[in-house]
Amino acid sequence: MGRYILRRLIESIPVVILASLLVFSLLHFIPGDPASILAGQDATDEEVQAIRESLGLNRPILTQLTDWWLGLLQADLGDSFRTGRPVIEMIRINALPTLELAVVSYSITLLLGIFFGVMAGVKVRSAWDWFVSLSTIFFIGIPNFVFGILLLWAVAFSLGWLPIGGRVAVWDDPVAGLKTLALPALTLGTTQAAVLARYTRTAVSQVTQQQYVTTARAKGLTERVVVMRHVLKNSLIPTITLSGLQVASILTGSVVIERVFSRPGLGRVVVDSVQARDIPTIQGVLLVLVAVFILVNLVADLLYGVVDPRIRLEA
Amino acid sequence: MSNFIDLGVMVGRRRLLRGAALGAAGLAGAALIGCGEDDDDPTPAATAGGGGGGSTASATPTPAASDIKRGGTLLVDSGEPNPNVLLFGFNVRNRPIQHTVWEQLIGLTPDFQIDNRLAETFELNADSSALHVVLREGVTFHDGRPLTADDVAYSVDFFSNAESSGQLKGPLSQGIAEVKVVDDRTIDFTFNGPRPALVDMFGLTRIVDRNTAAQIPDMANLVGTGPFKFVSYTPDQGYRLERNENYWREGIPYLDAIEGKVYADDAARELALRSGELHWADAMPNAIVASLQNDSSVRVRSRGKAGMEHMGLVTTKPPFDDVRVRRAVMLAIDRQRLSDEWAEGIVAGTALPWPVESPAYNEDQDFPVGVSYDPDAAAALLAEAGVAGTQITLQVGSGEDAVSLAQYVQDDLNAVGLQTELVILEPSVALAQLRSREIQSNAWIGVHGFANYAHPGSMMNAAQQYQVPNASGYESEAYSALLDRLQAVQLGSAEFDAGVREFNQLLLDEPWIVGLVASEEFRIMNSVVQGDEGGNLSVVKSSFAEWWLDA
Repeated sequence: MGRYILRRLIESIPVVILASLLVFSLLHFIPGDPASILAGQDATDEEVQAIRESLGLNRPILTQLTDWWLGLLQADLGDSFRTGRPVIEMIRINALPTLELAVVSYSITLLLGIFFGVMAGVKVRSAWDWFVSLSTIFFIGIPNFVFGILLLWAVAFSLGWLPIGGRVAVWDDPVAGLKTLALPALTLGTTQAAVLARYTRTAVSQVTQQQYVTTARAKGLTERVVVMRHVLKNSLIPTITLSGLQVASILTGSVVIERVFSRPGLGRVVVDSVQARDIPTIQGVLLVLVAVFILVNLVADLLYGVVDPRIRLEA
Repeated sequence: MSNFIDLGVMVGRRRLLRGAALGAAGLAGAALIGCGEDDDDPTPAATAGGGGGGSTASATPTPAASDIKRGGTLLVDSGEPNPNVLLFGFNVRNRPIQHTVWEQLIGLTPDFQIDNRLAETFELNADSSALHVVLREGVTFHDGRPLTADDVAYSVDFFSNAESSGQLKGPLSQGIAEVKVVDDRTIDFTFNGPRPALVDMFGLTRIVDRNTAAQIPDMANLVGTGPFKFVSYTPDQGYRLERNENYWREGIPYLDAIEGKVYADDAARELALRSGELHWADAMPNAIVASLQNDSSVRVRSRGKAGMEHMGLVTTKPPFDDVRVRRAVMLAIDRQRLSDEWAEGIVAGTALPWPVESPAYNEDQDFPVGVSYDPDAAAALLAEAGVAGTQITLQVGSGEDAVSLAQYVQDDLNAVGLQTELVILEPSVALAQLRSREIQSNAWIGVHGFANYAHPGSMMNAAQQYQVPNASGYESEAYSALLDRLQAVQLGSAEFDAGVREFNQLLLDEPWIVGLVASEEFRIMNSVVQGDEGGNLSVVKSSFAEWWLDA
C-alpha cells in the first residue's frame, strides 16, 4: 500500500507540472493587461509601463515561468498583483473557509446521495423511487446560483432563520459558524447529492438483481441485512468513482456559491483575481486545487481496495 | 420610515453665483486676509473656485443631541478596496476608507461652499493665483503625532509625485509653482497663474502621515487624522475601522466602528440591505436601485449626476471626420428610451456632462430643450454627407451594462442608416486604447465623471475626453484657447458664463463626445442609518463621521 501511494504521488508530479504550465500559458495569452487594470483609466503610458516593470511583466515569458517554478520549489508563489500580499498568505486565509464549505457540502452529498439512491434502488418503480427520480431531476436541472438565491430569499430573508451572507469560523463560534455554512453547503451539497443518488440508484438496482442477493434473501436474511451487507458494499465502486469526481465539482461550484453567499474562500479569490488579471494568485490557487483533486482521486483509488478486496492496488 | 429618492441637492445657479459674488466683493483687493478663530459654528463662507474667497473654521450642522444614538457598528459594502490606488483612485470601492481614515484641508458643501476641515483658514487671493492656509490647532494623527504644515506639504507632493497616478497628479503638479511652509501651522501656495479650479483638487487631496504613506498599498498600517482609525483588512473578506477617540471634533463620531463587508453578488447584497444585515451599500446596479425604490426598509439616495455615459467619436478618420455625420449621431440617439429602458428610469438622458446644479449647466443647451431626438434629420444629414448605409465599428468594454448600452446605441444608429457593428473588448484592452488615445474602432462607449465639481476646469483637467489630445483626436486652436480660458475663469464672472456656454455649444455643434444618459451613483441604506445628508459626489465631506444607527 505504501509503495502504491508513493508511486501515485510521484506519478502526479508531471501532472502538476503540466497543469501549472497550462494555467501559466492560458493566463499569459488571454487578452488583458494586469498593469493596465491596476493603473486605472487616468494613468499615463509611462505609469502603466512602470507598474508592468514593478510586477515583472516585462521579463520574457520563459523567464517568468522559470522564476515561478523556482519560487514554487521554495514554497514561494509570489505576491498578489491585486493586494500586494504573498499568494501563500492569500491561500492560507481563504483555504479554511473553502475547506469548511467543501467538507460540509460533501458530507451532505454523501449522506443524501447514498441514502436516497439506495432507497430508490432497492424499491425500483415504487412511489419512493418516483419521488427520488423527480427530486433529483429538479436538483440537477436547477443551476446552483439560482437555487442558492432561492434559498437565500426563502430561508434567510423571508423567514430570517439564517444569515444572508458572510462567514463565522466554526471553531470560534460553532452555532454561528454552522448557521453561516448551512445554506451554501446545502446548495452545493444537494445538487451533487442528486447526481450521486441517480448513480447509486442504478448501481443498487443492478446489484439487487444478482443471484447472490436472491440467495441471501432465500436464506431468510432480513431486508436490512441484505441491503447493508450484500447490496450496498457491492454497488459502491461506481459511487466511489463518482464521489471522487464530485469533490472537484464541489470545489468548482464553490466559485459561484462563495459569491452568492458572500463567503470568503478560494473560489471567490479565483474570480476576483481573474477579473483583476492577478496572475500569481490565479496560478497559485489553481495549483492548490489541482493538488487537492489529485489527492482526492488517490484516496478514491485506495478506497476501491477497501470496498472490494478483489482489487489489488499493488498490482 | 418612508423611502425616498433624494436626487441631489438642487441648488439654483443664482444662489451659487450670489455666494461667489459676495465672497469676491468682500475680499476684493484684499489679498490673503486671515480669517476667524476656530469654532464649531457651521459658517460656510467662500465659494469654491471663486477667487478672493476665504473661509472660517466650520463644521456641518449637528443633529439635536437627544435624537442621536451613540455606539454600534455600521456595516458597509462598496466592494473590495483597491490597495494599489487606495488614495489615488476616486472610485466607490475605496471611498469608505478614504473618507474615514484621512481628511482634507477643506470639503465642499452641497452648494459648493468651502467647508473647512483640517484648515482653520483657507484663503485664495483675488485672482486665485495664491493660497494661504492655517491649520486647525490640536489635530493629531492616529498615532498621536501632531499634524503640521510639513505634512500638508508632503501630502501635496505625494499626490503630485511622478510615481503615483490619478486625477490629482496633473492638476497639482501643473498648477502649483511653489509651496512654502511658514511655520508649524501655516503654509502658502503659489500657483502657476490664476487657478480657481485647484480648490476642487484641494477638496480631494487627503493629508497623509509622511511616516507611513509609503506603506498604504500594504493595507496594514493606514494612518490619518480622520474620525475612524484603521484596524484591519483581509483581502476578499473586509476591513474594520474604529472610532478615533482623539478626533478633533468633540463628540464625533457617533459610531463605535465601521465594518466593511464585501458582498460579491448583487442579489445577496440587496437582500442583506433589506434585512438589515448590511446597513449601507454604494454603486448598486440600476435594476436593483429601481426595485428598491418601493421598499420601505431602505432609503435610496442619488449622489447626483457626476458626468455622463457617452459615445466617443474618432474624428480623425471617416466617417466621423465629417462634422455632419457627428451631428447626425447627436440627433439619432433616443435618450428618452435609454433613460426609460436601459437606465430603468432612474437617470435622465443628457447631452451635456454637467449636473443641473453646476454653474456650467444651461438647460437650454441640454436634452431635451437644446438637443432633440430627430432620426429623420439625422438620416438627412447622413445622406447629405454621402455616408448613408456606411458601416462603422463601435467598441465597448465587456461589462454587462456597457454592452447593453452599446446595443441600444447600435439600434438607434442602424435605424438612421449607419450600419453599426459592435466590437466587444476585454475591459483592460478598451482602457489601454483610451489611455493611449488610439481607438481602433470608429467610436466607443464610455463614461466619465468629474463634471460635478465647483469649477468646470476640474473636469477639463481630470477627464481625458475633453483634454488635448483626447481619444477622439478632436483639437483645434480655438478649442485649446477655450480650455486655457476656462482654467483661469472665476466662477460668477461674465467670462465664466460665456466660456461654459461656448464650450457646451461646441460640444453640441462639433460633437466628439455624444452624451447618452447621466452617470449617476446611488447609495442605498437600511432605514436604521441616520445622519446621511445626501449630496453630490463632489461633496467630499467627512462621510460617516456624523452617522448613527437608530436601532
